Amino acid sequence: MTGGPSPTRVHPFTSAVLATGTAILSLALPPWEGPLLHFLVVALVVLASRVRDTLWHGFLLVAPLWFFLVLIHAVLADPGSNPVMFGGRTLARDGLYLSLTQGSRLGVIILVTLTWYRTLDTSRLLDAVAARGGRVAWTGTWLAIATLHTIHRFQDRTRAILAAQRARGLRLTGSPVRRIRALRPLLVPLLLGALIEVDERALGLETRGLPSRRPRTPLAPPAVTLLDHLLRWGIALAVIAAILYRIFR
Amino acid sequence: MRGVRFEEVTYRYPETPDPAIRGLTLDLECGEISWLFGPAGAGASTLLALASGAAPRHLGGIVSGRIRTLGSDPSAPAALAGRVAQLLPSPTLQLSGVANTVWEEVAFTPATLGWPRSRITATVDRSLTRLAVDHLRDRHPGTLSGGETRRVLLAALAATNPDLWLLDEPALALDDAGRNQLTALLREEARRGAAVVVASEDADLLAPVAHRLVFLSGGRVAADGRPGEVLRTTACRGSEAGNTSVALLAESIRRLIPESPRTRNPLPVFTEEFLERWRR
Repeated sequence: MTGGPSPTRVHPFTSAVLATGTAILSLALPPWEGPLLHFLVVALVVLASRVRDTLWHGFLLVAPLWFFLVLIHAVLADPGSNPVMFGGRTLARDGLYLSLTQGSRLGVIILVTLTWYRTLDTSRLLDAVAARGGRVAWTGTWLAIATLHTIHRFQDRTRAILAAQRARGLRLTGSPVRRIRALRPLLVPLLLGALIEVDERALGLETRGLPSRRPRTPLAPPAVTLLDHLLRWGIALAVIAAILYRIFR
Repeated sequence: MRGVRFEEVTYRYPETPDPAIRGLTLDLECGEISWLFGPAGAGASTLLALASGAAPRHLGGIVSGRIRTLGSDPSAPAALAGRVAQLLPSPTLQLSGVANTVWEEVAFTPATLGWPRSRITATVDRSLTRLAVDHLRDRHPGTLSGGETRRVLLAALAATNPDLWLLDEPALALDDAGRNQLTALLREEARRGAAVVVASEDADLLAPVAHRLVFLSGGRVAADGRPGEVLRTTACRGSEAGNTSVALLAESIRRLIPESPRTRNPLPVFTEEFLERWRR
């Protein structure tokens, strides 16, 4: 289930607006201090939340990006006339700032996306869409959520195939060549199984009324509270302020 | 109203040389529990797929002849949405995947069909009680056992009061209590006027409740009639899976004491017949 153990209680649209607004804010803030500070604030907020392990998952995704950004823009680039010394190496100052800016922005986008996904209550989101939109909007949202769910199914399937292949003598340790060879008996059933499951899943959901053309009934449409309004307007004003600052500073 | 009508239907799966169904004509009536059975590859599950439109829409292949499901063409699924309750062999793939509780899972189909909320609440509560899964109403569907998932799905399918049930091995992973609830459901649905079609090798489950057994062989109807009569036919007795536990026991006894009048043909299929013969 996408919602996980601790879904947010704000309106599902509010959390989507907050995630989108925070990502846009990161792009709108002036480099390089703005995005970096913003990233640190977002990381602290995630750390203080109930899904704090998201920070670690985010780090695993962001770390390689940072590494290559710094490598390409600061280490391998021409330092020019205004270099910066770091750990005995001469780095390109502009390239380093660019890396910090882009890395922070990517970090914010990844962190807010992961946090939004982990705290998403899919059932409430679908109810909210059903209450506001028509059949097409609901089906589109449902399809997007179902696609996200395939990640979990894929993980479960990988674990099952791995266990089965290990029981049949597959060795995943040893030299890189052996490890690469071991991927074949893992990937082939994984991909074929996933393709077959897509068909079975489509059929399974057809049996649950999906072909109907009538508007979906929201079971418990979430209410938009004062807090929702405050959060939505708050992030919107922050984005506008950041854009205006960039234009008129 | 007729449940399903097959007229001279031939169906071939993709990339297979031989048809799975060969020129089959069959009517499956409302108000009846029709049990489709045959040796592996006989075509029972394929008939369910053809009746629901899953074949050839999802499964591919080529179909000829005419199929009418509840009077409609099954290749247009919108007309049958909510009217056909189909249970697939892999129930976890039938879960909506977006429900937080069993209650929401059962409510998924009626809500998707656009029923009013008051009607959804009433039908979901009734369905949960019918399948004795009311105590699971607040559980997350992903945490259920295989048998619980199957019962919850049956409750979800029952929630729309379907006119046609298409069940493929519905008793898999069910315990005794679950099997009893399933047979009670099948009986109630047939009594309500729904056509109930079950593809299964579980003779102990189906023989006592089915009104009719359609014995399939090689994609054709080999025998068709009351379960007791058809199970005694040579074609059916040749298949181990088609025998009830009572019939298998009776055959074992005959091998031990072939000369006894109690072991002469026709051998009993149901418990009552067996007990009556041995009481004498």
